[in-house]
Amino acid sequence: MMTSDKIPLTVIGGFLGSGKTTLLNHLLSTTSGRRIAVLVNDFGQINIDAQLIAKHEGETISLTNGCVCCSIGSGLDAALIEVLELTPPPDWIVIEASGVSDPARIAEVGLTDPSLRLAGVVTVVSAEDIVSQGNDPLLQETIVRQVSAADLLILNKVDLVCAKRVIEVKDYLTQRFDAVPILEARNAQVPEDILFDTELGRDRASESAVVLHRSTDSDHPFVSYTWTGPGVFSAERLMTCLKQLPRAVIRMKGLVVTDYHGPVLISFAGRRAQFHAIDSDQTSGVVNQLVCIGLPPGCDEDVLHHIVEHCLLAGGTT
Amino acid sequence: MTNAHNRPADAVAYQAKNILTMNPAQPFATHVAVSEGKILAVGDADSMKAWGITDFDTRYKDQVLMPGLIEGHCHLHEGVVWRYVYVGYYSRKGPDGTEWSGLTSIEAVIERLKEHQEKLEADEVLVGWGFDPIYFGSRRMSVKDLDQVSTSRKIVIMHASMHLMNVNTATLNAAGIDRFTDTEGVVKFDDGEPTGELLEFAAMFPVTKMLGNPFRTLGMARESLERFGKVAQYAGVTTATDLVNELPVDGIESLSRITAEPDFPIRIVPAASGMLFDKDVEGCLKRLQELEEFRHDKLHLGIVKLVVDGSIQGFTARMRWPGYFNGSENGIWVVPPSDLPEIVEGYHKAGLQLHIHTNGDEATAVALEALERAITLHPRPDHRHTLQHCQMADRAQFEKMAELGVCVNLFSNHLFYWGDSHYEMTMGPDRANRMNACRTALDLGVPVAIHSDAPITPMGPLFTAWCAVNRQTASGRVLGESERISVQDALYAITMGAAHTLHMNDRIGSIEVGKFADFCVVDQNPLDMSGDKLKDIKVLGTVLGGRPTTLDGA
Repeated sequence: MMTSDKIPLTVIGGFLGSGKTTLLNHLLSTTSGRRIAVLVNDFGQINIDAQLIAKHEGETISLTNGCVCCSIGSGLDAALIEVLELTPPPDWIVIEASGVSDPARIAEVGLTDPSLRLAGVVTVVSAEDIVSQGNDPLLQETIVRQVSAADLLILNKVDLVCAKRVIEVKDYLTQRFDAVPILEARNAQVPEDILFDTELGRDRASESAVVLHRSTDSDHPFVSYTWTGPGVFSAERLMTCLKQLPRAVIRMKGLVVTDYHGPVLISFAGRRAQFHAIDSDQTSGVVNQLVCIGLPPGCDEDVLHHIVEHCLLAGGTT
Repeated sequence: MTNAHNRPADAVAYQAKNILTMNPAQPFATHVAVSEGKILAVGDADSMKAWGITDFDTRYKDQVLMPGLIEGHCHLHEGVVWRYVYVGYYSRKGPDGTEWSGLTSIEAVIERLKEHQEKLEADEVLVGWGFDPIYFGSRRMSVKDLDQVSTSRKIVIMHASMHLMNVNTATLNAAGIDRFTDTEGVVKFDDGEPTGELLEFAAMFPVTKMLGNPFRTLGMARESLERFGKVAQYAGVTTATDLVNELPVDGIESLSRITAEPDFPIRIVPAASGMLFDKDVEGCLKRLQELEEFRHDKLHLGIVKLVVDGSIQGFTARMRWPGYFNGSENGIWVVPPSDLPEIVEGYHKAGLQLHIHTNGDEATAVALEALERAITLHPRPDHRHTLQHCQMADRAQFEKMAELGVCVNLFSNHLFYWGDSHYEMTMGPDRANRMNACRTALDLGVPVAIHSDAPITPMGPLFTAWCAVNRQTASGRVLGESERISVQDALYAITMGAAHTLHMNDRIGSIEVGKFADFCVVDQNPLDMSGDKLKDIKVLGTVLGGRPTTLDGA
């Protein structure tokens, strides 16, 4: 598998009471073999099964399944430095943004720190409260920032309101925040693989012809499209194009050859493009591959067609 | 009766040209006797003789004594920043007494960095601090400037706000930041290359990590505390707060040991970080109890700090209508407004004193609502909860503070350092004129202190007093003449006013029998001069618990 040796980072945002902690509890106790480092605001809120706790030292709780949970009470800098120094490094770092903070601001660290790769920003909102919070004069900027930052919105607690209300709330969110992808949830239970972003999911593409295929999963409503083909991309155009991707695209990743980097891993998360250099010995005979994941109808094959059409340099496709 | 019999063996009486006691019952004196670290007698030569003291220590005979000054809002980081080279716009006195001249151009900053570089090892990172681009108009520092200092050595320049930094190309390369680093925190030239200016936590993180997070980890290290003590001494300060401390047990244990040393020149008052404990008020109380054994006369624990919003110049303060003058969107909450009532009630009910950071007037409104609720539910006389900064409060809010018995510690230094930006950019004329309204607060009977928030602005209560008296900005503009206060009121604010907000007015803040013998030694009587000269008074030394502390070069 092609990797950049960077640790994927997911930031979970959302106002107090939306269900962030429930989601984290769920992740920590049910993870399928990934060693997750979770940075939380408050140990008091997190409710880890006592049998799972291997040891508790100061700001860090280690679990028997290899996960760790680290308190960011003493500052995000300190906590993040601590988990980056873990040996072996965690497979995935998940930061719980505080209930009033802007997850986009935190997520940027996945774009700036060389050991990290931003995998996504997920904001949890409560179906019961989000409309009143969004209209509260003291809270509305906070809520707008949290929802706008999200690649994926988890509309939690849908079981606590009637079906009609769920539709109203989704309409409210769509009208106010464009076609932000929404995943309904109860008890903040969402498939781990939707939150986790693997790097390219299969071995280096072998096809050299232009291929586009679609895949779906019965577990969730998202689709993914993969394009493979030859050519050289313009790095500048690619960055511009990625920034303009429709809201329905949750994330995108790929291995491409650009005029600036040569072969490079790219990804799109947190509404931002990232380029991750790869070892030169991995680069011979690279075939471009782009994967796009999102929610229909906004996320379809046109998304990839558009990128290929606009960003491949002339003479690239033959 | 024999007077000699009464004289305590260790008693020393100091004779001064004048003593401003800040005790309204006896405002002036010429002699003060000390014993067991406390004030034994205040008055003239005869008052000393009544205690059998006829020999006077005359080292201060040509000087003026005031109560030791009190910095009611500063941070131990002041002792960390001086590890690095100062590159601020205004002159600032370092812990060794060196007056570092202000650097009024980016070229001057580059020159100082070049000089300083000579003292460093080849692989050592060159770190500067205190830089503030606000004074250079549209000219921003960039890699083009810093690369002139070195293309191989990593260079990091912290801005005064600590929310921004500038780095050189070597640092950008080490951090892996380039034109394709697509985040708002990485500022770019028009051609897409990074300028080297990094904004906020995320963009700064790779560099923070590289430096070892010193501002977070080194505040209570011995060398930082010693530097902090020296800075305070030069400012005439004998009691200073550390207005947010996570109270790690080992850190406080060491702080306790170091401050207890006879030569350590100040008393320190750390405030527990209410943000660390969030809604777990019990947890904070428990920690304070664990730390009980570390308290002593020079280390006072028990106050709690809460932060409600951000800063005005960073556009992160929460403002009511009409919001920011330049149209910036409203600021951020640090503690959720919906949690504040419960947290405030918890601490209030437990009998603790809260120091609540509010900059914008909406944050002040939310804090006052939470306080009113807690005080109404659990009436408690003399709680002395204090709003810290509280820069934008209007008259109605000060009236509410007066009704609730809430104190205020205003950020008068802002008037000078950022007053022009507040007038032109952040608040506009009307609200810039009402900022840090000392006069209104005093008129309404709200207990007032004023502060520097060092290291954000330099520690120097006499300068802070000058700001409150003159309300003059860096460009010379006067903001809200009607909010000026008298020299007497300003001196009160930096002594008894601050002592009151720390609930220590029974021990410090005035030269009065029974209080700690803490003095500030100055070259002239501030009451004999016009208010615009207040900042020119020279601090010549301090006395702590009766012990004169020495200042190099003063």
